[in-house]
Amino acid sequence: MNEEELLVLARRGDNAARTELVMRHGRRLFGLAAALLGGGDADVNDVVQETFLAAFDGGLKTFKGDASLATWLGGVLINRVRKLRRYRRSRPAGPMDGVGRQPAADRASPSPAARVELRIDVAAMLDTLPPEYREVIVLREWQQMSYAEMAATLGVPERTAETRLTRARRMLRQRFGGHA
Amino acid sequence: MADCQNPVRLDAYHDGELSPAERSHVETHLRECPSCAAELAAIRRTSAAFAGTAAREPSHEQLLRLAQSVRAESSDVRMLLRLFRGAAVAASVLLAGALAGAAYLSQRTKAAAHEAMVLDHVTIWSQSAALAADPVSDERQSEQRLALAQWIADDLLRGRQEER
Repeated sequence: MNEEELLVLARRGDNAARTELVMRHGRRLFGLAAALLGGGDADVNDVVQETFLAAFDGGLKTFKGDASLATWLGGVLINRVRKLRRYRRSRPAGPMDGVGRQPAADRASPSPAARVELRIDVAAMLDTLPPEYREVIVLREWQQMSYAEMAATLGVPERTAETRLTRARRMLRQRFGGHA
Repeated sequence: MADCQNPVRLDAYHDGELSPAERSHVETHLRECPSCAAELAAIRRTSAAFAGTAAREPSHEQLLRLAQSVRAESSDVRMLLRLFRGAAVAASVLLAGALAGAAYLSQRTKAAAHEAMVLDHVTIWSQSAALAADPVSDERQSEQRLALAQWIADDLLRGRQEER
C-alpha cells in the first residue's frame, strides 16, 4: 500500500495505518526534532506527537501529494518547533536554561569513545546559529536531504536553501575556527 | 573564495548538487584558484564535523508508545463523543436562551417599578398642587400638609438607603 492510501486510512481513524506511518516516519522525525530542539529536550516527544496528530486529525488538507509525505511531515514538524521557540522566547529564562551547552575548546579526533562528547559539541555549536541557519544544517548534514527536499520542507526556493546553507557553514567556521 | 573574482557554487559542488557540466566547470576553476580550493577544504571540514553525530534514534518501544498516543478513538467511543457533543451544544443553547429570558424579564421588572414610582410622584405632586389651588378648612389643610411632609421625608430616606 502506498503512503497516500495509508494516509487516507489513517485520516479515517484506521489505527493500523496510523501505526504503520508512525513506524515509517517516526524515527526520522524524532531525529529532526531532537536536532532542532536539543537531544535531551523534554519537548521532543510532544513535538513529534503533535506533528502526527496534525497530519491525522486535520493537517492532511494541506498535503497535496506534490511533495513526499516525509518532506511534508518534516515541514509540519519544523513549524511546530518554530512555534515552540517563539513561546520560549516570550517567557523568562529558567535558572538552568543554556547551562552545559558550551562547545569544548579542544576536541580529540572523532573516535567512537569521544562520540557522545562530540555530539554535545556539535549541538552546542548549532545552538549559536539563528533558527533558519540551524534548520538547513540539520536537514543537510543529519537528515541528508537534497537541496530540493530542503526547499520543499522549509517552503522556500532551492537557491534560498542553498544560500542559507552556505552562510550557515561560514558562520560556524567564523565562530568555531578549527572546530568546524 | 574571499579573494576570488569568479566565485563558484562550492557548497553545491560539495553536496553533489551540480550537473556534470557545472561540476566540470568548478573543477577547472579549483585548479586555478587557491582561494576557492581552500574554501572547499574548509567546507569539507565543517561538514565532516557533523558526521556520526546525529541525535540518538528513538527505540522501537518509544515508537510504539508514540503510535499508541496518536491512535484514533474506536467507532463506539467516537459515536458516544458525538452524542455528548450534540447534547452539550443543545444544553448550551437552552442555557443561553434561559439567561437571555431572565435578563429580559429583569429589565422589564425594573422598568415597571420605575414607572410605578414616577406615577406615585406625579400623583402626590398633583394632589399637593390641587391642595394649593383649592383651599379647604385649616384643620384638613394642616392634616394634608403633614401627610405630604411625611411622604417627602419617607421618600428622601428611601432614596438615601438605595444609594447605599
